Amino acid sequence: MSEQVQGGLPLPGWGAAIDKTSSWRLTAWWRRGLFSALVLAQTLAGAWTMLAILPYHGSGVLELSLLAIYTLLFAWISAGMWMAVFGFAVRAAGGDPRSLLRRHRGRLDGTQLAPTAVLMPIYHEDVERSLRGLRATYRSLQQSGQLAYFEFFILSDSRDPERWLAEQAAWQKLCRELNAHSRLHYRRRRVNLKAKTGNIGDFLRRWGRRFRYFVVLDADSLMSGEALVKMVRLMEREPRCGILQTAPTLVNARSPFARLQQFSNHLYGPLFTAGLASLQLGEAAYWGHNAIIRTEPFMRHCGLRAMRGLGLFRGPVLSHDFVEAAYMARAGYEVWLEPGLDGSYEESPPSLDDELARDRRWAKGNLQHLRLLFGARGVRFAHRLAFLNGILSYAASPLWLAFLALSTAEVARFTLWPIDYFPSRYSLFPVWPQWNPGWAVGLASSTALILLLPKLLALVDAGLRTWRRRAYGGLARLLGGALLETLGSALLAPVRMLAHSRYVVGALLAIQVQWAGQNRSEELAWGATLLKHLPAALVALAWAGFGYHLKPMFFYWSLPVVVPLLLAAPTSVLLSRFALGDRLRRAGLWTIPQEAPGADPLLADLQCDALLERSRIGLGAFEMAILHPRRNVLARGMARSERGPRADRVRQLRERCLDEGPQALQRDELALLADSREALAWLHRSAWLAAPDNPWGARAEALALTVCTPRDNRE
Amino acid sequence: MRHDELARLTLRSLAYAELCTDEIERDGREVLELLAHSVERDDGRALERMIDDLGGHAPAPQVGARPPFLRGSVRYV
Repeated sequence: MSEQVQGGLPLPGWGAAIDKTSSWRLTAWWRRGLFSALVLAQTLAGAWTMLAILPYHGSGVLELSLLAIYTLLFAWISAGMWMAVFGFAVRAAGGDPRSLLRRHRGRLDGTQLAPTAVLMPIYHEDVERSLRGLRATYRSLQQSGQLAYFEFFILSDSRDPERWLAEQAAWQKLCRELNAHSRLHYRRRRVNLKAKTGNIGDFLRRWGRRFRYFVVLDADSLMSGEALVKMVRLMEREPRCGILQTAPTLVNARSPFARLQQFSNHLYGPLFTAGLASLQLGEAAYWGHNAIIRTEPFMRHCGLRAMRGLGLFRGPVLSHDFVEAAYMARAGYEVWLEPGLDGSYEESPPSLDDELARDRRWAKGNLQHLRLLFGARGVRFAHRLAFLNGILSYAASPLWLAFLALSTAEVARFTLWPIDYFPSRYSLFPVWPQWNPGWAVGLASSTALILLLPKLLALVDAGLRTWRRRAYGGLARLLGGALLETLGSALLAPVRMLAHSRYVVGALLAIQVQWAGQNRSEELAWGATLLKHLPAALVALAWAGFGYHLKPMFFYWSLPVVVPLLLAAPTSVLLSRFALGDRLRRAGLWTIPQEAPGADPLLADLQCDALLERSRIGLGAFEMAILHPRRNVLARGMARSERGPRADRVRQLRERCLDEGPQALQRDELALLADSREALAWLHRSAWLAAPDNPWGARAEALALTVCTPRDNRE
Repeated sequence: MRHDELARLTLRSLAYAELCTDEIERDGREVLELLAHSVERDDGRALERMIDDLGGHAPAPQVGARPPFLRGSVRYV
């Protein structure tokens, strides 16, 4: 097996690592075998019960379709439940003895570090939040005393000059504040081919060979210095490990929606990640951020070509992380998920609509893996299962929707049409349809138990540990929070189901998905949200009315889906309100251990001084880059000189910008100016010399007045 | 020079000087003296000269402090 590894670094502990590799594979075999047997047995029991419940016991296309969909969905939720059970067992046993952290415990401190780049690819993100996170990570690393081994790169793909000029100003401020001019770098790609993969590939081509490892952060990531140092040391001790993924926990939530996500992530997440890690072992997935990657094999084996197929399978690979992990493993390297690494954080979208906007991209990205699931050569079976898992995360929604539609059709068949005693055309004997309401209730109850058991186990897991129980505000608040979370999740599930179904169908029909930055800080407006959820509410109303017309019992059965869809708009708006989130926090509901005062200095550091100075007279980043002498020097330093026809176009634009003001120009026109050294210098000088009746002269006048007003009188 | 023009020139010069400083208080008298010399020349380029002169004191950002390239290639598979 060792000959498969190309470009690995022969480091101390190589032989030992090979021995351990074979032993984890054996463990993986029996654990996965047991897991599969349990899921299969439970699924067969569920399918058999469903068969008994169906009036014609699976006869005819309609019932066979119902049975097939139900079996698939039952297998899906059973796998989730058993994953949590495995996680519970692992945690109850004090952790997984096969995990990297457990295996190298006690030997890490003496392990030498290696040059590591910390990358933050950004695209139209909240600059203030992203760079505050980077600042906290940087300071934490500084405090660990190991900063010398790390360099930070902000890799921007932003196209809007307002964004990139703000990014540059914040980066410069950060460099001054941290005295990090030689350690904190900023690069903006002018041509952002292949989105995030292209951005990282661009970095690797330029600087990759300088670093043995690179850590990828998301725009809302936060990592402690201790975690980063441990990750590098683990990689040094495990030369076969190509990617080491941490399990980031959600923090910093304000809106009720984000707090709900954060609470469930903290309470239930550890069980699922422990279970997942115990099954995947060295064949884990990469989640795209908060992970460390061995640079050389990544450059050699994980470069992703754009897909050349039709429709969905054309263009850049959107969910690149799973594919990169699969290719790393194909090259003979291991990919580990290490849930025991603390100090790895990320944030939740502030509202349901923002989460769904993100899911739209993820749905398409995961569905693209259909091609790799069956087509990619040499990919390990475990990674094919990871692709399947990702696909089902979204495909489960249209399956659920289809199940509801087919159930309605089945009830309609019995209510609106005469009973068919010969559903199979070539049968001499009649089939007497049978209803088993008792069995149906039993199956519904066991399905509910399968869905709720992970939550119950998580409550036991937290309740039995005194410090965790206290960190959640005591047993009463823990239980209250979990009950409220279950109610909230039940309200959100049908809305997610309908949205995901749309995304899956849209992806299969190859409807274009915009690559856009994520909203991480805004509340939802009533008007737009009501309009957005109106079609779903109307469909739900029609379905409920039809259900009532068919059979009142069917109508009551449909209510858990209908009511959340009718309430989708108010639910989304209320869950996005920061004030409500703050009140919940003050009441001690949905609190997490990290919210206790002084729980983690890293998170306190995130709330420190602002990086971006807000203009008192409301000037934007472009206007500030023109008027403010220091911001102008910075923007000029980052811009380029124009030649040829492009320079002529820039000259025309700058004249127009001076005469009519920046609001008269389109975004791409402003981008041309903001990227031209000469235009920036010319506009700066011209703006300050302009008469007061010129748009720029007026702005210069207003700025001058603000600057020259004594500070006490400015507010 | 008209009174309102002189007032505007003074305001803009002082503000520009302030914006060029790097958390260090600039002595207003120094700016005004510079402005007085500039205005005395009476060639209509007083503010222009102030911008050139004061702008030259704006601290240059360290935009070129990126590590040198160490070119490699990503193999696409």
